[in-house]
Amino acid sequence: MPKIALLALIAFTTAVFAVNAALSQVSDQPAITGSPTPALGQPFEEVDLPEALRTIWPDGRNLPEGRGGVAEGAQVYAQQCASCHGATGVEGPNARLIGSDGVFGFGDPLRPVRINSHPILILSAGGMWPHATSLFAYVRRAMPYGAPGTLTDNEIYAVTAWILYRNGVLPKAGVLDRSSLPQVSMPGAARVVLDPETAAAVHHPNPTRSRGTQSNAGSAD
Amino acid sequence: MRPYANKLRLNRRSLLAGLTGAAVTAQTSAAQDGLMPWMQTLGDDDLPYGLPGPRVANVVRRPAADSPGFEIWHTPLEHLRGTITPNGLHFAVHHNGIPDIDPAEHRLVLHGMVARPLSFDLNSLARYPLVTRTAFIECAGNSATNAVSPWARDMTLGDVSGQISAAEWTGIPLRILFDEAGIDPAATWVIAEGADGGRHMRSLPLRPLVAEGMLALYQNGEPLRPSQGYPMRILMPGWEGNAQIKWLHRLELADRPAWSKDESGLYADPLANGKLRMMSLAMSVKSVITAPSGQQVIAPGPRQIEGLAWSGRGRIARVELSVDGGRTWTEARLQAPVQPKALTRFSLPWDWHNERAILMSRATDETGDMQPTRDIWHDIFAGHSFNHFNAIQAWSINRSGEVKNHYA
Ligand code: HEC
Repeated sequence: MPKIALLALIAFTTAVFAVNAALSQVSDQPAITGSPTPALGQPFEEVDLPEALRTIWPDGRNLPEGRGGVAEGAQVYAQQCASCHGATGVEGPNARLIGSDGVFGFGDPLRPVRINSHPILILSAGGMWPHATSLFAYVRRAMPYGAPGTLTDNEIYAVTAWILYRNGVLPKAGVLDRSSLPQVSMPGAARVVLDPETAAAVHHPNPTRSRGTQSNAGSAD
Repeated sequence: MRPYANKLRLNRRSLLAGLTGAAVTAQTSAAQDGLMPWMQTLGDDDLPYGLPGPRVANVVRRPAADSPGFEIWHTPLEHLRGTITPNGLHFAVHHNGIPDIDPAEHRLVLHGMVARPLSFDLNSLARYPLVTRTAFIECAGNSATNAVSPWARDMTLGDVSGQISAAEWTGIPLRILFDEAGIDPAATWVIAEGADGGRHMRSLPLRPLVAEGMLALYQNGEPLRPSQGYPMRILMPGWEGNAQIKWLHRLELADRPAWSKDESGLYADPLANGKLRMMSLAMSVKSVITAPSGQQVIAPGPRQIEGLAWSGRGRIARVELSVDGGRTWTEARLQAPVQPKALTRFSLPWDWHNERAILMSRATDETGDMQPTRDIWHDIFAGHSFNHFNAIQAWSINRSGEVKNHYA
């Protein structure tokens, strides 16, 4: 009996192996199966994002250390910016930084030029932009044009201070850093209306906030 | 003689000359009499990447008449037919020049209010199922000169309104990538950033991007041109070009906008009531007559009035034409297929007999939105506002057939 049992067992296992081999041969055949969403993204750690690539928010989050005032800013401006934006930030030839968003007077010597050839010179960051942080963030990423990233954060705070002083929203003694910059209130802010289609698209009927750091969900600022 | 025999022998000319040094004498015979010169010689060699011929050397982009200090190139609409813009003629606005991106090093990072922040390289992205869609892209500032100039400047159509182009775009629906990262239900915005030196950035509403946005990798069948965002850009049919971030390298989901430079100023819309409308993205219904158009001179007799119409909110429903400055209108023929958020070509035959005329086209889209007159547009937008100008374009024609930009 044990011999027969052994033989039977051997026969059985052999058969199982044979079937398995046959099956595995079948599954080695190419077949078109797959996911329409291959999910090939590599895990990424938020902390690995270089500091320079972190969004600077209107509430001041991600603003760097450093500080700068109007007086130093005037020097930075004269050396690094005036050649393109004009001696006082109004003349151009490139974007106007000070004053008007279009309400320019008949006494303005550049009026005909502004109207016809340089419509962009009738807008200004100082007149329109609703948040002071945007000024710092943009100069930091893109200015001076053609040589972004060449200013120190102190110099950027300083030149931002000078632009805001010239726009009448910062006193001459004003000094900016990561805590004071978001406090500056900009003349444009009161006039902003969010485009109605965009407002509808970001309307969140019942936002469940899962991240404590991001409050004021859905607000326009 | 048999022309094919001649052609064959000439085709072997360089080979024979190389092997044997034998010179092949040009064939001339009475059989060639009356033939055009190009029928009598072997033609030019082709190129690895074909270029337009020297005979159409005028069909090129032109830089914007008024440079704001960054590059703007206009599509020469008056020279093109059909509804697709050749890749080399696609309009372009580069705020920080064209970056020279190494595709092996480029990464797209998807982070912020997501369950799993992710990073993608181009090789992985190429393994996703791609979709294809025809769409126009228009700069918010297209036709700005007619919005702000107190008088109608004498310009070609391309110079006035050439910041509109269309292509067949191929890429990955953004929804697939967002889903892979897992959207936080409280996220409402996407901060999108390019890898150019200046890292152009916009805050965009998330929901429309989930519904219709594409990570575009190909343009009219070939990899994106550097000028259009190689290796990848956002395609969001119907939105202003500035929002369809080129050289895309970062998408951050958020519950608020970042208020970047362009959404704060240059691409905001000062309104007649003193308010500043911001984050307006959809390009409204618009049309232009491509022929006859600015600075052309037309001859009397039969011709076609032709043009292009588009809407960032859907299909073109109707285009009407006027030759009497808007007193009477006739419905134009629309060429099929009429696709949503793409260019639609329209035309009508016209016999012109030296009479003065003012040509206008007026498009209506499937939402019922119709182009305003220039005056009505200015009732809403401030006098110095220059974005989203979609008013009716007029061309005046004098008795000699000279066509000029015109305000009507
Ligand atoms: C070589 C010329 C050049 C220099 C130097 C330069 N800029 Fe600019 N700046 C430009 C151009 C061109 C633009 C428009 C860029 C655009 O719109 O994309 C611009 C835009 C800006 C804007 C945005 C204006 C708006 O309303 O959109 C700000 C702010 C600015 N510059 C600040 C500065 C500061 C501060 C400096 C000095 C540190 C500086 N710029 C140096 C050419 C220059």
